Amino acid sequence: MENIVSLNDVAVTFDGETILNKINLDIRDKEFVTLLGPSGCGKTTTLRIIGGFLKPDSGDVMFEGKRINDLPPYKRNVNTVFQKYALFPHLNVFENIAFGLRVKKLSEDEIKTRVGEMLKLVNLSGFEKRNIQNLSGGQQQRVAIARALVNRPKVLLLDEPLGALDLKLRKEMQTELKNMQQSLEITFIYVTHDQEEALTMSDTVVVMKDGNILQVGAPVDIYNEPKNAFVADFIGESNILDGIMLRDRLVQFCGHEFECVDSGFGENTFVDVVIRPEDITLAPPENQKIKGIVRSVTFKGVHYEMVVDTADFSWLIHSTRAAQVDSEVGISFGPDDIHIMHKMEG
Amino acid sequence: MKKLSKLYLSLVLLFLYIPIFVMIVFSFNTTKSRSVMSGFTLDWYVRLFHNELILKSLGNTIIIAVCASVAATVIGTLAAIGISRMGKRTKATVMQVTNIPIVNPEIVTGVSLMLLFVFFQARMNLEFGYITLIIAHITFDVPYVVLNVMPKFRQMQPNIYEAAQDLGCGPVRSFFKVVMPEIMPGVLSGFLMSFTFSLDDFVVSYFTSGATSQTLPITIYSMTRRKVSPEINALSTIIFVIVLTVLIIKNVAEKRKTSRSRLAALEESGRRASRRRIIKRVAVTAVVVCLVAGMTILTLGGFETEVPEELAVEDPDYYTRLADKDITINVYNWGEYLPLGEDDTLNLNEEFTNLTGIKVNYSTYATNEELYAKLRAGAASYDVIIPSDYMISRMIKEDMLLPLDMENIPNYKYIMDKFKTPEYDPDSRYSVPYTWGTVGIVYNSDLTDMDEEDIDWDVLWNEEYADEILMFDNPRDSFAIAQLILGQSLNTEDKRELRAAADLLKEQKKYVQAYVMDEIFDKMGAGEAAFAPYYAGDAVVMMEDHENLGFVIPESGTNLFVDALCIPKGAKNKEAAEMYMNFLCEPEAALEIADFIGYSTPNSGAFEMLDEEVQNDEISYPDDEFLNDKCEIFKNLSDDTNQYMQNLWTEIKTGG
Amino acid sequence: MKKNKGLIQKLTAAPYLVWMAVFVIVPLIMVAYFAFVTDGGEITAEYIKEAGQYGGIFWRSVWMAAVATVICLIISYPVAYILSRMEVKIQSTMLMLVMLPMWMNFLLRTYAWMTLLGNEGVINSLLGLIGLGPFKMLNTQGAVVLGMVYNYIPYMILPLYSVMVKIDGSVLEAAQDLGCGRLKTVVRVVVPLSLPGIMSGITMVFVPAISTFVISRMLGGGGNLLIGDLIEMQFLGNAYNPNLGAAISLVLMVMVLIIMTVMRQFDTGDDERVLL
Repeated sequence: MENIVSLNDVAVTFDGETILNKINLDIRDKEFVTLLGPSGCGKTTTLRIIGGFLKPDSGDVMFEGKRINDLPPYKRNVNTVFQKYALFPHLNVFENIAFGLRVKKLSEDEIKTRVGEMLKLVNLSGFEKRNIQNLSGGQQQRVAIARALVNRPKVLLLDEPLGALDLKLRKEMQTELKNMQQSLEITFIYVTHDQEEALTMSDTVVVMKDGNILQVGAPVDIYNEPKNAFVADFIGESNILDGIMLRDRLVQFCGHEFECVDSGFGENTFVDVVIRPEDITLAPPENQKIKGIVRSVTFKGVHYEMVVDTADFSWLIHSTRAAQVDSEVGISFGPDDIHIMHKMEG
Repeated sequence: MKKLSKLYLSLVLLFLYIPIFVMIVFSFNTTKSRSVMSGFTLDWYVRLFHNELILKSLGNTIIIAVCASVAATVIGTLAAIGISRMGKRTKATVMQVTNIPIVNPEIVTGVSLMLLFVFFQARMNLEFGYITLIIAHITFDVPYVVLNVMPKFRQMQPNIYEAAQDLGCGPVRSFFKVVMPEIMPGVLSGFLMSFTFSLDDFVVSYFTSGATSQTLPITIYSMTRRKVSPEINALSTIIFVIVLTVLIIKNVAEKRKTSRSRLAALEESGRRASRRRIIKRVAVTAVVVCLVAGMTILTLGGFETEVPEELAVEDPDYYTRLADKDITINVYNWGEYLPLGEDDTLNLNEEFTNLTGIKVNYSTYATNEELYAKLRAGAASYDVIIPSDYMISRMIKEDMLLPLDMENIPNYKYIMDKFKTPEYDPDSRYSVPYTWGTVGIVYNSDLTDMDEEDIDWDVLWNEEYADEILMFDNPRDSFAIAQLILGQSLNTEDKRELRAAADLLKEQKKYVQAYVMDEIFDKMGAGEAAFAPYYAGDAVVMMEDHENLGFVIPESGTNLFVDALCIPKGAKNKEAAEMYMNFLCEPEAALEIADFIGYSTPNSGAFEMLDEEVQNDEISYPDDEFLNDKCEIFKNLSDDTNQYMQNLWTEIKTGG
Repeated sequence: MKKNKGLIQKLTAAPYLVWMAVFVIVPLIMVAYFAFVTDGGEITAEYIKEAGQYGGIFWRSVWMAAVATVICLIISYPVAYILSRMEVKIQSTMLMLVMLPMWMNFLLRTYAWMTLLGNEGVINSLLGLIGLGPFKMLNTQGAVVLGMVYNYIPYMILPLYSVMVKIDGSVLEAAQDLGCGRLKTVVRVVVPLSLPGIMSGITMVFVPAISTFVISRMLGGGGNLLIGDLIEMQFLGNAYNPNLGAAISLVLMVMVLIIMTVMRQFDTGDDERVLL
């Protein structure tokens, strides 16, 4: 598969502040790519550069192999679903969707057919004459998507499109979006700060922080092999401990030595040790290296969330079995549950 | 593109600021000219603090604006409370009414209030003055208060009033504790808007002010009809500079504040500049500036310590009779028709007050018809007015004047015999001649090389001078010129003759640059026109200031006019008014007047004191033979003829 | 008890209602009365008929006010747009600059135009330096229109600005995203969205322009009478005829009402009235 969008050494500064720090990113055709990161990480800026609303200070933006830095948004074969939809309040549903087609001066018949198709696609048939202000958030969302897709862009940019919806609706839309992307066979570039959303929908996840790309990979890889503690923590809540890599496959933390599967860190190196809460099992305290007191137990539906205090750390543990508050428990995990990571700079 | 927008904005701003720039520049001009910058002086700034008329009207303006905006704020805020509790339909109706003064043309608001006040005046002795002005101002202010406060109620959390009561406050206390703070921003901006609207209002004030309450805009208006004295430019410059300074300081302060929270501002680049806040800020600034400037000017003006020189009167005892009665008389005179201390003249009103203890309220009009309209509308009660001959006879006929008690005006003896028992007042019962003169043609020798002898009335129809001719802006004087050319009597009642004169005037319209009255001073002075018919006395004044102007009384004949002091019906202080008239007939006072306004004096005492050169001057004092044979005095025309002439005149002015 | 309390609160509006009735409604009724009833108390349509004779003036007033309004709109629209897309900080400063001239008395500013436009005025003097003119500018209809534009243009800029500032930047980006160039974005999105501002700007300029009497008198040389002059003449001027004046006022009011109603049609129910 070839790259449809590439960013080469793209940098943006604003008022002396670095927003994007020479990032490089290749996005393959027909992929669902998610830019993930906390607010201020530069993900929306990246999207706006691809959309053409912002010119990078340096670096190249390539689209199908051509440099498009100076191409205005209205000449790019890319469409955007805006954060708060940015629907035109003076137009009804039909006219909002038809907007781009009318600008292209398509025939009335074609406009009708294409808008009709789109309305069907987003399940809004029959809403043509509705006023935008009278739609629910979810419906507005669908109009915004239809308005962008009707132009048959090669790439669809989505800027936190589900942020304003409630949980249930969000889940529904996630599936719908994913289905749309697959049936239309176009590239989606999706911006979100919700890691769950990123993991469920994407083919590729791009984790960003402070204007840098930290990691690019498939959701499973990112989840299982986070490059550093930040990614690990951002992708899912984790227990992150300071440790020392004594030698290959042997790490020391919490005053004990543990076997692990990682190697290549050198000897006696300070590292971050990440253990996911669901990888921990509670065991009777007797045979365990780490013991602690259960401080709280919260029922979360599928599992219980427990906080267990040991001498120098407070552990987060997910388990289908609840322990007794104030009871002493042992904390147990296997060697492949221990993820060793380089300490982050700074 | 960015550059283009900047250029565009700059051009628009330039357009907005050019007139202000002109105003500022000419506030430093050494002469009164408004077209030539002849030198730099700060004189006008000094004089500003001694210009009684400007200071008085500034004071009036501030008083009225404060009273009206405070009252409007109270009424409007209370109203908003009530309206917010009303049902939907009642509310809609009330808001409709609220919108009326906002969307209605100002002139209609002014006129309708004037009709109302006239009605009240006739029945309840209401007088045009502060009261009517304040009522009018409250009326156009109060909707803005309501409209500013109402949204605050809408935005307010619906239950906070109940919450306060729940927490133990009584209804009234709850209101002041929780509701008031919520609506305060609205109340404040409503107040400030009202205040600024009141300060700047001209149109409504113009129709509702009376003898005692001329506001600054009205004063400025009457000045623009003659010549804006540069003191006003100075005042505006001061206000402008203060507003500008305050704005700059505010802006700098704000910049510093924002740079501290630059990041926060960056986040919020959703451009949510609140317009209301800006308006409010500007309004606050304006109010502060106005108050400060007003107070400064008033106090500075108050420190005036000039001791006026005494004016010799024949019988000082006569004038002290009413000294302790605290009387104020309202004098309504033509613009610039009495020396008031300008250009080192005596201030005759002040002299009179010093002498008698009677205060003088002085205001001005531009035409006989305007005076007539004001009196007929009953818009104000005046004690002394100065109409012209034909208007006096009309007023006598319509029973608008009070007969005078000549016992109280001993100085009547100074009036020359030839001005006693005139046709317009056959028994000399109602009027005491004040000035007289003839009508002639003012010309600008830079714009014409005609010899004086060749200039006759028909020059005003000369195509060669198209657009360089000014014409009277009143029907009687304009018709008179056409009638002189046609050889008609100036007092003809023959409709065919009048129609012929009107046709002649219509024909003239294409050559006429503008129809003006006192604006002639300004326009001829600035070299805007070559010829203009006007009154001899004014011509004398213009010629003193401008060497290139000359004046011709056409040999073929002209109109002789007399302006005389009268007391209108409804005058409250007849005796004091007569005393005032007597004072103006003191030879020395009459001499001051003749000197200042340039008109001829009918006062023998004053005439004798004139230089021989002036006594023999052909313009001011033509020989009796010419006056008797070639000059005609206006008489009052019948109502029918007056109306007919008026209709023809409107037709002339609006046609083509 | 509860009902009682509501009543008291409603009563606070009473002074206002009385005030508006006495000083707004009654005077307008009096205008109508004067327009239809002679001094002798007879009902007549004479005055309205007489007012009809001045159709020429009405027509001229409408025409000149309309021209002035259109010019205001053309000049103000880009100004408001540029302003609304500026940085917030600069925006407020620029807005102040636009509004500052309004703090100078409008009579004086108009008078200053006399200085600028006269045959011997500043502009003709400058033109004279490069060998042009003098042009007759003062005392023409053009001068009156200029005076209207100059005096009322802030009333156009402000409402336009205040609707445009509410247009979310992302909506404009959306238009670009969907294929609109700069111009097309303005035509297809900004103009329709600023329609309420355009309408209130038009009324706020048109109404005072059609009823002014000061501007026409100062810059029009007395030969370019407008409805306002006509009314003023009937009440405080040469013609003195309050009945005719009331009739003309009534006609003017009806005209304004019709215009307002037409403009209302475009209002999108957003009742946040633009003040000042």
